[in-house]
Amino acid sequence: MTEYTDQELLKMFKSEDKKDFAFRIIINKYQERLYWHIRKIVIGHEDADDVLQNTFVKVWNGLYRFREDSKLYTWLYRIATNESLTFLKQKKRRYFIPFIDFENHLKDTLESEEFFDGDQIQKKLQKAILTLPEKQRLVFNMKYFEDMKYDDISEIVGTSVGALKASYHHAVKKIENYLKNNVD
Amino acid sequence: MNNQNPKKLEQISKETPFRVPEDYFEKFPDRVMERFKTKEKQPKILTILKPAFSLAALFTGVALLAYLAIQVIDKPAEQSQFNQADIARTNYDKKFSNEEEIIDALEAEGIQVKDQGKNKKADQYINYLLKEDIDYGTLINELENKNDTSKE
Repeated sequence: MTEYTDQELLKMFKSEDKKDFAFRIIINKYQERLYWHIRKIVIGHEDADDVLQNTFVKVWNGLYRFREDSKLYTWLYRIATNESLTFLKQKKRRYFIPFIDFENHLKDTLESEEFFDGDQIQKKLQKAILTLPEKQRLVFNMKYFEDMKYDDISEIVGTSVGALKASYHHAVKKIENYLKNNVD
Repeated sequence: MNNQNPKKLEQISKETPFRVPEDYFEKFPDRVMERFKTKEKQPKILTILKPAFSLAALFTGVALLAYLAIQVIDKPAEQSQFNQADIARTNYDKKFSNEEEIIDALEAEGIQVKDQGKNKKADQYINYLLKEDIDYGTLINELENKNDTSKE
Protein backbone atom coordinates (compact mmCIF):
# COMPACT_ATOMS: atom_id res chain seq x y z
CA MET A 1 0.00 0.00 0.00
CA THR A 2 1.37 3.40 -1.01
CA GLU A 3 2.46 5.61 1.88
CA TYR A 4 0.95 9.06 1.57
CA THR A 5 2.15 12.09 3.48
CA ASP A 6 -0.37 14.15 5.44
CA GLN A 7 -0.08 16.95 2.88
CA GLU A 8 -0.90 14.57 0.04
CA LEU A 9 -3.86 13.17 1.95
CA LEU A 10 -5.20 16.64 2.69
CA LYS A 11 -4.89 17.61 -0.97
CA MET A 12 -6.74 14.46 -2.02
CA PHE A 13 -9.43 15.01 0.58
CA LYS A 14 -10.14 18.43 -0.85
CA SER A 15 -10.81 17.01 -4.35
CA GLU A 16 -14.33 15.55 -4.42
CA ASP A 17 -13.51 12.36 -6.37
CA LYS A 18 -10.72 11.30 -3.98
CA LYS A 19 -12.30 12.45 -0.74
CA ASP A 20 -13.50 9.01 0.48
CA PHE A 21 -10.28 7.33 -0.55
CA ALA A 22 -8.13 9.89 1.26
CA PHE A 23 -10.27 9.73 4.37
CA ARG A 24 -10.10 5.96 4.54
CA ILE A 25 -6.32 6.20 4.46
CA ILE A 26 -6.37 8.84 7.21
CA ILE A 27 -8.48 6.50 9.37
CA ASN A 28 -6.12 3.59 8.73
CA LYS A 29 -3.10 5.72 9.50
CA TYR A 30 -4.31 7.23 12.79
CA GLN A 31 -7.06 5.01 14.21
CA GLU A 32 -4.86 2.94 16.52
CA ARG A 33 -2.99 5.83 18.08
CA LEU A 34 -6.23 7.77 18.59
CA TYR A 35 -8.02 4.72 19.93
CA TRP A 36 -5.42 4.03 22.63
CA HIS A 37 -5.34 7.70 23.56
CA ILE A 38 -9.14 7.73 23.95
CA ARG A 39 -9.22 4.37 25.69
CA LYS A 40 -6.88 5.57 28.45
CA ILE A 41 -9.25 8.45 29.12
CA VAL A 42 -12.62 6.69 28.99
CA ILE A 43 -11.31 3.22 30.05
CA GLY A 44 -14.10 1.04 28.58
CA HIS A 45 -13.80 -0.36 25.04
CA GLU A 46 -17.41 0.34 24.04
CA ASP A 47 -17.07 3.95 25.16
CA ALA A 48 -13.73 4.31 23.37
CA ASP A 49 -15.30 2.92 20.20
CA ASP A 50 -18.14 5.49 20.36
CA VAL A 51 -15.73 8.34 21.00
CA LEU A 52 -13.39 7.24 18.20
CA GLN A 53 -16.27 7.16 15.72
CA ASN A 54 -17.44 10.60 16.85
CA THR A 55 -13.87 11.86 16.52
CA PHE A 56 -13.67 10.76 12.88
CA VAL A 57 -17.10 12.26 12.18
CA LYS A 58 -15.79 15.58 13.52
CA VAL A 59 -12.61 15.17 11.48
CA TRP A 60 -14.63 14.49 8.32
CA ASN A 61 -16.74 17.60 8.89
CA GLY A 62 -13.83 19.87 9.77
CA LEU A 63 -10.95 18.63 7.67
CA TYR A 64 -11.63 20.96 4.74
CA ARG A 65 -11.15 23.87 7.16
CA PHE A 66 -7.89 22.47 8.54
CA ARG A 67 -5.05 24.97 8.12
CA GLU A 68 -1.70 23.35 7.73
CA ASP A 69 -0.01 25.62 10.24
CA SER A 70 -0.20 22.74 12.74
CA LYS A 71 0.51 19.03 12.33
CA LEU A 72 -2.40 16.86 11.27
CA TYR A 73 -1.74 14.38 14.04
CA THR A 74 -1.80 17.01 16.84
CA TRP A 75 -5.05 18.38 15.35
CA LEU A 76 -6.53 14.84 15.38
CA TYR A 77 -5.38 14.31 18.97
CA ARG A 78 -6.96 17.60 20.00
CA ILE A 79 -10.31 16.51 18.56
CA ALA A 80 -10.01 13.06 20.15
CA THR A 81 -9.13 14.61 23.53
CA ASN A 82 -12.04 17.05 23.39
CA GLU A 83 -14.44 14.31 22.34
CA SER A 84 -13.27 12.09 25.21
CA LEU A 85 -13.63 14.83 27.82
CA THR A 86 -17.05 15.81 26.44
CA PHE A 87 -18.08 12.16 26.62
CA LEU A 88 -17.03 11.92 30.28
CA LYS A 89 -18.90 15.14 31.12
CA GLN A 90 -22.04 13.84 29.45
CA LYS A 91 -21.72 10.56 31.31
CA LYS A 92 -21.38 12.37 34.64
CA ARG A 93 -24.43 14.46 33.83
CA ARG A 94 -26.47 11.54 32.52
CA TYR A 95 -25.93 9.40 35.62
CA PHE A 96 -25.72 12.33 38.10
CA ILE A 97 -22.28 11.17 39.22
CA PRO A 98 -20.41 13.67 41.40
CA PHE A 99 -16.70 14.22 40.56
CA ILE A 100 -15.43 12.24 43.55
CA ASP A 101 -17.62 9.25 42.66
CA PHE A 102 -16.72 9.45 39.00
CA GLU A 103 -13.17 8.34 39.81
CA ASN A 104 -14.70 5.26 41.49
CA HIS A 105 -17.02 4.78 38.53
CA LEU A 106 -14.00 4.63 36.18
CA LYS A 107 -12.22 2.25 38.59
CA ASP A 108 -15.29 -0.01 38.52
CA THR A 109 -15.25 0.12 34.71
CA LEU A 110 -11.60 -0.91 34.82
CA GLU A 111 -12.39 -3.82 37.16
CA SER A 112 -15.26 -5.08 35.05
CA GLU A 113 -13.69 -4.38 31.67
CA GLU A 114 -13.75 -7.42 29.47
CA PHE A 115 -10.98 -6.18 27.20
CA PHE A 116 -8.24 -5.77 29.80
CA ASP A 117 -5.17 -7.97 29.53
CA GLY A 118 -2.87 -6.32 32.03
CA ASP A 119 -1.59 -7.92 35.20
CA GLN A 120 -2.38 -6.73 38.74
CA ILE A 121 0.51 -4.25 38.70
CA GLN A 122 -0.72 -2.64 35.50
CA LYS A 123 -4.22 -2.49 36.90
CA LYS A 124 -2.84 -0.82 39.99
CA LEU A 125 -1.03 1.74 37.84
CA GLN A 126 -4.27 2.47 35.94
CA LYS A 127 -6.09 2.96 39.25
CA ALA A 128 -3.35 5.31 40.41
CA ILE A 129 -3.68 7.31 37.17
CA LEU A 130 -7.44 7.59 37.77
CA THR A 131 -6.77 9.44 41.04
CA LEU A 132 -5.13 12.30 39.09
CA PRO A 133 -7.00 15.43 38.06
CA GLU A 134 -8.21 15.34 34.45
CA LYS A 135 -5.46 17.44 32.89
CA GLN A 136 -2.65 15.72 34.81
CA ARG A 137 -4.07 12.41 33.67
CA LEU A 138 -4.00 13.51 30.05
CA VAL A 139 -0.45 14.80 30.28
CA PHE A 140 0.78 11.72 32.12
CA ASN A 141 -0.74 9.32 29.57
CA MET A 142 0.66 11.21 26.58
CA LYS A 143 4.12 11.58 28.07
CA TYR A 144 4.55 8.28 29.88
CA PHE A 145 2.85 5.82 27.55
CA GLU A 146 3.15 7.56 24.19
CA ASP A 147 6.39 9.42 24.82
CA MET A 148 5.08 12.49 23.04
CA LYS A 149 7.07 15.71 22.84
CA TYR A 150 6.04 18.46 25.24
CA ASP A 151 5.61 20.81 22.25
CA ASP A 152 3.05 18.47 20.72
CA ILE A 153 1.23 17.92 24.02
CA SER A 154 1.18 21.71 24.44
CA GLU A 155 -0.52 22.06 21.04
CA ILE A 156 -3.07 19.38 21.95
CA VAL A 157 -4.09 20.54 25.43
CA GLY A 158 -3.37 24.25 24.95
CA THR A 159 -1.04 24.59 27.96
CA SER A 160 2.49 25.98 28.05
CA VAL A 161 5.41 23.54 27.98
CA GLY A 162 6.60 24.74 31.42
CA ALA A 163 3.20 24.09 32.97
CA LEU A 164 3.09 20.65 31.31
CA LYS A 165 6.48 19.69 32.73
CA ALA A 166 5.37 20.71 36.21
CA SER A 167 2.09 18.85 35.73
CA TYR A 168 3.88 15.66 34.65
CA HIS A 169 6.29 15.93 37.60
CA HIS A 170 3.38 16.21 40.06
CA ALA A 171 1.59 13.33 38.38
CA VAL A 172 4.60 11.01 38.71
CA LYS A 173 4.96 11.91 42.40
CA LYS A 174 1.30 11.26 43.10
CA ILE A 175 1.34 7.93 41.31
CA GLU A 176 4.43 6.75 43.16
CA ASN A 177 2.85 7.78 46.45
CA TYR A 178 -0.25 5.80 45.52
CA LEU A 179 1.89 2.74 44.72
CA LYS A 180 3.70 3.04 48.06
CA ASN A 181 0.54 3.52 50.08
CA ASN A 182 -1.56 0.85 48.38
CA VAL A 183 0.40 -2.34 48.91
CA ASP A 184 -1.52 -5.55 48.13
CA MET B 1 11.81 -6.56 36.87
CA ASN B 2 8.13 -6.35 37.87
CA ASN B 3 7.44 -7.20 41.48
CA GLN B 4 3.98 -7.36 43.03
CA ASN B 5 4.35 -4.03 44.85
CA PRO B 6 6.43 -1.68 42.73
CA LYS B 7 7.25 1.68 44.27
CA LYS B 8 8.74 3.29 41.18
CA LEU B 9 7.15 3.78 37.77
CA GLU B 10 10.15 2.32 35.98
CA GLN B 11 9.30 -1.02 37.54
CA ILE B 12 6.02 -1.16 35.63
CA SER B 13 5.68 -2.12 31.98
CA LYS B 14 4.73 0.70 29.63
CA GLU B 15 2.82 -1.69 27.41
CA THR B 16 -0.89 -1.00 27.20
CA PRO B 17 -2.86 -3.35 29.46
CA PHE B 18 -5.99 -2.89 27.35
CA ARG B 19 -6.96 -4.91 24.33
CA VAL B 20 -9.60 -4.69 21.60
CA PRO B 21 -11.98 -7.28 20.12
CA GLU B 22 -10.63 -9.35 17.27
CA ASP B 23 -10.33 -7.55 13.89
CA TYR B 24 -11.49 -4.35 15.52
CA PHE B 25 -9.03 -2.10 13.65
CA GLU B 26 -9.54 -4.00 10.39
CA LYS B 27 -13.28 -3.40 10.48
CA PHE B 28 -13.31 0.07 11.96
CA PRO B 29 -12.66 2.10 8.73
CA ASP B 30 -15.57 0.32 6.98
CA ARG B 31 -17.87 1.02 9.92
CA VAL B 32 -17.04 4.71 9.90
CA MET B 33 -17.36 5.06 6.13
CA GLU B 34 -20.66 3.16 6.27
CA ARG B 35 -21.86 5.64 8.89
CA PHE B 36 -21.14 8.53 6.51
CA LYS B 37 -23.01 6.82 3.66
CA THR B 38 -26.01 6.10 5.89
CA LYS B 39 -26.00 9.68 7.12
CA GLU B 40 -25.96 10.98 3.55
CA LYS B 41 -28.82 8.66 2.56
CA GLN B 42 -30.97 9.29 5.61
CA PRO B 43 -32.15 12.86 5.81
CA LYS B 44 -32.24 14.34 9.26
CA ILE B 45 -35.41 13.83 11.30
CA LEU B 46 -36.13 17.56 11.13
CA THR B 47 -35.84 17.50 7.35
CA ILE B 48 -38.33 14.62 7.27
CA LEU B 49 -40.72 16.29 9.64
CA LYS B 50 -40.44 19.77 8.10
CA PRO B 51 -43.33 19.29 5.59
CA ALA B 52 -45.44 17.74 8.34
CA PHE B 53 -44.76 20.72 10.61
CA SER B 54 -45.65 23.12 7.79
CA LEU B 55 -48.90 21.27 7.10
CA ALA B 56 -49.78 21.19 10.79
CA ALA B 57 -49.13 24.93 11.05
CA LEU B 58 -51.27 25.54 7.95
CA PHE B 59 -54.18 23.49 9.30
CA THR B 60 -53.94 25.20 12.66
CA GLY B 61 -54.04 28.59 10.93
CA VAL B 62 -57.04 27.64 8.81
CA ALA B 63 -58.86 26.18 11.82
CA LEU B 64 -58.17 29.33 13.82
CA LEU B 65 -59.43 31.55 11.01
CA ALA B 66 -62.55 29.42 10.61
CA TYR B 67 -63.21 29.57 14.34
CA LEU B 68 -62.84 33.35 14.39
CA ALA B 69 -65.07 33.70 11.32
CA ILE B 70 -67.78 31.56 12.98
CA GLN B 71 -67.52 33.67 16.11
CA VAL B 72 -68.01 36.88 14.12
CA ILE B 73 -70.89 35.51 12.01
CA ASP B 74 -72.71 33.91 14.93
CA LYS B 75 -72.46 36.92 17.22
CA PRO B 76 -75.41 39.02 15.85
CA ALA B 77 -77.67 35.99 15.92
CA GLU B 78 -76.76 35.26 19.51
CA GLN B 79 -77.14 38.88 20.58
CA SER B 80 -80.49 39.39 18.83
CA GLN B 81 -83.10 40.25 21.53
CA PHE B 82 -85.94 41.16 19.19
CA ASN B 83 -88.80 38.88 18.39
CA GLN B 84 -91.09 38.94 15.37
CA ALA B 85 -93.52 41.33 17.12
CA ASP B 86 -90.74 43.83 17.78
CA ILE B 87 -89.65 43.73 14.17
CA ALA B 88 -93.26 44.18 13.02
CA ARG B 89 -93.71 47.12 15.40
CA THR B 90 -90.53 48.71 14.17
CA ASN B 91 -91.77 48.48 10.61
CA TYR B 92 -95.14 49.84 11.65
CA ASP B 93 -93.60 52.76 13.57
CA LYS B 94 -91.59 53.79 10.55
CA LYS B 95 -94.81 54.88 8.74
CA PHE B 96 -95.62 57.56 11.34
CA SER B 97 -93.76 60.66 12.29
CA ASN B 98 -95.38 61.22 15.71
CA GLU B 99 -97.54 59.63 18.35
CA GLU B 100 -100.74 61.39 17.27
CA GLU B 101 -100.55 59.87 13.83
CA ILE B 102 -100.24 56.43 15.40
CA ILE B 103 -103.22 57.02 17.68
CA ASP B 104 -105.27 58.31 14.72
CA ALA B 105 -104.31 55.32 12.69
CA LEU B 106 -105.20 52.92 15.50
CA GLU B 107 -108.53 54.66 16.08
CA ALA B 108 -109.22 54.52 12.35
CA GLU B 109 -108.79 50.79 12.57
CA GLY B 110 -111.31 50.62 15.41
CA ILE B 111 -108.79 50.28 18.21
CA GLN B 112 -109.56 52.55 21.10
CA VAL B 113 -106.50 54.10 22.69
CA LYS B 114 -107.98 55.38 25.92
CA ASP B 115 -105.02 57.04 27.59
CA GLN B 116 -103.99 58.83 24.50
CA GLY B 117 -107.59 59.94 23.96
CA LYS B 118 -107.69 61.42 27.44
CA ASN B 119 -104.45 63.21 26.85
CA LYS B 120 -105.79 64.54 23.59
CA LYS B 121 -108.84 65.94 25.40
CA ALA B 122 -106.69 67.49 28.13
CA ASP B 123 -104.56 69.13 25.43
CA GLN B 124 -107.73 70.56 23.89
CA TYR B 125 -108.86 72.02 27.25
CA ILE B 126 -105.46 73.58 27.86
CA ASN B 127 -105.48 75.10 24.38
CA TYR B 128 -108.97 76.49 25.03
CA LEU B 129 -107.95 78.12 28.35
CA LEU B 130 -104.89 79.65 26.71
CA LYS B 131 -106.97 80.91 23.81
CA GLU B 132 -109.59 82.53 26.15
CA ASP B 133 -106.83 83.90 28.40
CA ILE B 134 -108.30 82.22 31.44
CA ASP B 135 -105.92 81.70 34.34
CA TYR B 136 -105.85 78.07 35.32
CA GLY B 137 -105.39 78.87 39.05
CA THR B 138 -108.35 81.32 39.11
CA LEU B 139 -110.56 78.79 37.36
CA ILE B 140 -109.68 76.12 39.91
CA ASN B 141 -110.43 78.53 42.82
CA GLU B 142 -113.77 79.53 41.32
CA LEU B 143 -114.70 75.90 40.77
CA GLU B 144 -113.74 75.06 44.37
CA ASN B 145 -115.77 78.02 45.72
CA LYS B 146 -118.72 76.94 43.61
CA ASN B 147 -118.51 73.44 45.01
CA ASP B 148 -118.34 74.78 48.59
CA THR B 149 -121.41 76.99 48.04
CA SER B 150 -123.46 74.19 46.59
CA LYS B 151 -122.52 71.99 49.60
CA GLU B 152 -123.71 74.64 52.00
